[in-house]
Amino acid sequence: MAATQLALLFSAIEFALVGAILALSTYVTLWAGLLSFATVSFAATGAFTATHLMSEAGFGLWPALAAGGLGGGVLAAAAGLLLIRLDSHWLALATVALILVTRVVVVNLGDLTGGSEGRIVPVKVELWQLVLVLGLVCLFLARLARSRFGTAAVATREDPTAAATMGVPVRRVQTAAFAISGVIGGIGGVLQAGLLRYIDPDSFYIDLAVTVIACVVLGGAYHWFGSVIGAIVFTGLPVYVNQFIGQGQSIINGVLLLVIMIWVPGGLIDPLRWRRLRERRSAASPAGAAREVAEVRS
Amino acid sequence: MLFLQQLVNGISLGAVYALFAVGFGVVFSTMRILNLAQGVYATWGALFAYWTVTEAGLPFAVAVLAGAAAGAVAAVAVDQIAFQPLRSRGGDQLLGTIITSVALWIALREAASLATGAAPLGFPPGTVPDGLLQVGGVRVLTTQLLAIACAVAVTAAIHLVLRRTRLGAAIRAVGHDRGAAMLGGVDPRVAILTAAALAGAATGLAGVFFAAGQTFTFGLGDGLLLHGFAAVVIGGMGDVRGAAFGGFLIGVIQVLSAQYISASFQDAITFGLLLAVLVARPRGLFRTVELGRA
Repeated sequence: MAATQLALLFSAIEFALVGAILALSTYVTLWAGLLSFATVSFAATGAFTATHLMSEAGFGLWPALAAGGLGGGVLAAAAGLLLIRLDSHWLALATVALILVTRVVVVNLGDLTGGSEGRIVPVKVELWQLVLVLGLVCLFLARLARSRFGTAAVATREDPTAAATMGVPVRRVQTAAFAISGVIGGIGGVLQAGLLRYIDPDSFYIDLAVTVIACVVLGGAYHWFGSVIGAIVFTGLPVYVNQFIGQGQSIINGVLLLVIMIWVPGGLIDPLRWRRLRERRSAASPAGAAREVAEVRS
Repeated sequence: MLFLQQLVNGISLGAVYALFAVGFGVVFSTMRILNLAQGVYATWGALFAYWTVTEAGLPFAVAVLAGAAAGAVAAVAVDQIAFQPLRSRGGDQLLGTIITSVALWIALREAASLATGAAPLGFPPGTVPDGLLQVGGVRVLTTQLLAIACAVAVTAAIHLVLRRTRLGAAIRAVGHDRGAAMLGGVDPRVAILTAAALAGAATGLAGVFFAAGQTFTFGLGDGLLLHGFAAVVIGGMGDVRGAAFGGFLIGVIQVLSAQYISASFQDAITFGLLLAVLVARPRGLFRTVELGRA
């Protein structure tokens, strides 16, 4: 009994880690002000490319990750160039369409993807590998947040017109965000395939897209750490809690989504709310106000 | 002759998509909401129509009305629970409303699954009109005719309401600029609730006619959501006539491509067309002029 509990806990942690990588992929596009569901398409590209290479060319996990990331990145760059000129609502629609088209392509490219029967994934992913990859992705995003790209992306999200006036190449920043999202999404897809051990066209479809968006938005779309927390809450927790609740689990999930969205609109990790709280507190004590001035200057 | 027969089948399937697309288009163009919960309105519309026939023993015409009413009630409830709290907060609601609509999609779908025991259902024989019309060798079922007539009538009615009445003008004004509409003396609540109810009723009807021709499960709305979504994007959302045309087009393409090309390419052609239209003509095949929106 204790052993199965432990196995379930491990599996929950593993899915949460991969969920976090996929959520971070979506986070990067939101960072540049683009609402995209396309992470799932990038993940599917990565997963099917890597699985093909692993079973036909005998690739190990690391080269497969590189190939998957490359596949996702190429698709994302192409999709970005075509779709970014659409405005926000239409871009969201177009990325949903991209997911539908991706599934159709996967079904019809039977020789490469196994078609509707799916395919067994020959390489298993270990927990430490997931931790390592997620750590690297987080490190990369933390560095990126402090770079010129990070500043430009925030400016683009807040007001693209103003950003363009200040000399930010808005279109280029958004295309770059799409491509980065694609690489991270492709890597996430390979790892997801390694966890599932068997993938078919429905492994990467609307339900996964919805989960990923929910992780990002409810975790907090204004800081990369929000996506990680969101993934733990919305992909890890359900895997573990499933054993206690039978029917109606989705109703609880739905209500949870609704409640968080209405009462915690900024998400669980919300740097803006924290700053406001800090400012209110420091405004109360003069010493705090002085420190605030020092912070602003530094 | 086979071609004509399949064309009729395609148009009647398209009528279902058209009803769905009209509902989706009304919500998207007047409220700027990408409503993923739309599919479950159809599911609940179909379920209520089914119960009206099997549990209450009432005729099919009453069941159709019950389905439309159930869709309208579901749409108004979803709007008030999921969208109103975000709307009253103001600001850009696209992301928030997507999440809350997903929340209700998941919850209402599961509720439908529990209500039906996840079992496949079908209208018992004899409860659905089973007449058959022979027009020069082409067989047309009464339900197919009903679906087509209903789709045309609903599209025309919603179009007239939106374009010719004061209420319709109010709905469009709120969609265009809520603040300015309020200054002009429009009560946004009435306008939004009417739009939601119209959309829900059309979607509920889509569910009833989709379910009438086959066995269905609680997942009925999901397939309808994807195809209706394709229809509405291809036809364009600014005008309900465009959305309805998109629906008929998708229906015909689906049936004809299954007949003449291959059933496995059916969705490839539909969704490929969807992506091509989005890239080439993002406002749909029938672009409406939109003034004043940045």
